[in-house]
Amino acid sequence: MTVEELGQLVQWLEDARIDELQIEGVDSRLRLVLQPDAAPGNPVSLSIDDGEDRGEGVVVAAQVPGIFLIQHPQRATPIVPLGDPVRPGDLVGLIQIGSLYTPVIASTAGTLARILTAPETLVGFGTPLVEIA
Amino acid sequence: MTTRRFDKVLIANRGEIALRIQRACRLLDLETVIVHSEADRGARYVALADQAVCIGPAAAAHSYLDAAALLLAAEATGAQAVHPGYGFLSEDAAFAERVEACGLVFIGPSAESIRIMGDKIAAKRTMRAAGVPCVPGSEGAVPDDLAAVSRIAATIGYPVIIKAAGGGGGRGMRVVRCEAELADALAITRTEARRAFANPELYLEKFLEHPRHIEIQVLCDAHGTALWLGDRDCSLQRRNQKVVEEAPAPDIDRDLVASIGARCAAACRQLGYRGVGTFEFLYEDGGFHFIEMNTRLQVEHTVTEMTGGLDIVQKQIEVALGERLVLTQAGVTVSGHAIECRINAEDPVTFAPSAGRITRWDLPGGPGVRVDSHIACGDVVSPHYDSLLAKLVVHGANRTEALKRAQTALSEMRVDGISTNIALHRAILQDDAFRAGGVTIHHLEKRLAQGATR
Repeated sequence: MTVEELGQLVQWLEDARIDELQIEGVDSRLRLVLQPDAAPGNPVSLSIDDGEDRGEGVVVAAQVPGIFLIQHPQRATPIVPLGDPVRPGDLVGLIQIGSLYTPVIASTAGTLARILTAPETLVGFGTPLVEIA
Repeated sequence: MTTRRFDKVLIANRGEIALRIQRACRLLDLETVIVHSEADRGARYVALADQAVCIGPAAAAHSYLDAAALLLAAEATGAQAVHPGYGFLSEDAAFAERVEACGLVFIGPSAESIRIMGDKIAAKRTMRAAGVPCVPGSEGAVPDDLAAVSRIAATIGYPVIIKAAGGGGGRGMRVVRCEAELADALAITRTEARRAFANPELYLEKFLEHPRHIEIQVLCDAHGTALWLGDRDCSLQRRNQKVVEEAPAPDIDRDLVASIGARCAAACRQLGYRGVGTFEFLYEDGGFHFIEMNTRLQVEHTVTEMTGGLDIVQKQIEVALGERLVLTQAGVTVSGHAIECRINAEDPVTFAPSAGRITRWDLPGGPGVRVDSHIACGDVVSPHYDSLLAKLVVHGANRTEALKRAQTALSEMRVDGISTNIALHRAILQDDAFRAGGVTIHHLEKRLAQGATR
């Protein structure tokens, strides 16, 4: 997608008074957010979102609804303590659905920087769970 | 205190019907779980639920139509029943089966009932056997021999319509007006059917030239009680989409309606049907002809609620709880007249869905006026889903009063920021033929073609 095409999309959003647009493809995702309080004529924010990269670190989001856990119920310690290094593919949390536990997997290398959702609460698709920085 | 079959209902739908179902759950002291897509995350009705959980991205295929995501959400939230609403998975027999296989209650009929009614030929055969009048036609598929088909067509009487057994939605059908056209029409439709549906089977039906769409609402418990709650006229349609519905159907012999209603209820008893359902008929020249049964709650259940003074969704959930209907057929009453206008977000000329932020949302009120809507001012109407914004339902002591209330209500209603079909509804209510009552299913499209209701 070219900058000109992005400009056209922004124009259409403004004309239709839509302040957010998300286009999802097979391996890409585009999200345009028009800031409602931006001064007229100011450039609007354009962010190309690959679904993970928000802010400084990489956010791992839930893929299924369930109860978010950072430690296995039969263990006394977290799966990954805050600040510990993780590699792509590492288990960093669990989502419990009844008696089923599904893994929350690190998508990148770094350290476990933040827990973004209170453990043992219900999360849904897309809920940010942890940040890897 | 006795234990109920379920205390917590997962509402597997969105928009106005999700809110409508939640209201009925509140009445029955049932907890609610509303599932939603990312696009509906900020919706007001979502926040009203006891629990809300996002199950997927905006695209319905990955959220509201994703059976696995819905069942995971039920498990995660401890919901013990699933209400499918209308559309989405509400008439998906396999989904109903999966819900029950998970040990949950599907608030609707059995998977078997859904399956039978989903197959047009099987549904018709079942109804004919149950004494429900059907469109005259061939019994099942027609033979290959032209002379034999010609005899069948002559018995039915021209015009006839050839339909592909695997077709539907207006595809794979052809009207034949006289015997001379029959051979070519058969050959073309059979070729099309083989190519498009990989099923060359055809059947014949009498073609009705100027029918009305009349339907019967039924309510059945799991203990053998089946009631019909009233009739509705849904003839005002555009491209098979209902625009205005009313109850009762004007200008039809009430004894005839009662006898058809009684047959629908009898058919339900024979089938062991449970829950709510709708028998759809084409009505022409004083005769009712069954076309299909909808095995779910319908958008226009509201007009029957207004004339019957009952909450159909509450009853639907009560029978799913296993309760016996206290209501009897003699206790079912019809009082006055009700009209529903479907307020859609759409371009008034092209009818293309209109998306955007609603900047003004003025709703009508007063006696006999009901608005079922999930919308609040400032909401963004998403292009992902159907365009229904609100159902404006009015009730009057008679049809004249209902028409007046509808006109007044529409004059009070104002929506800015997106395009709606409010102007179309105002025009319909001024249309002489509609005001007289009893228009055919082609009436609205004819008027639109003349530009009369723009």
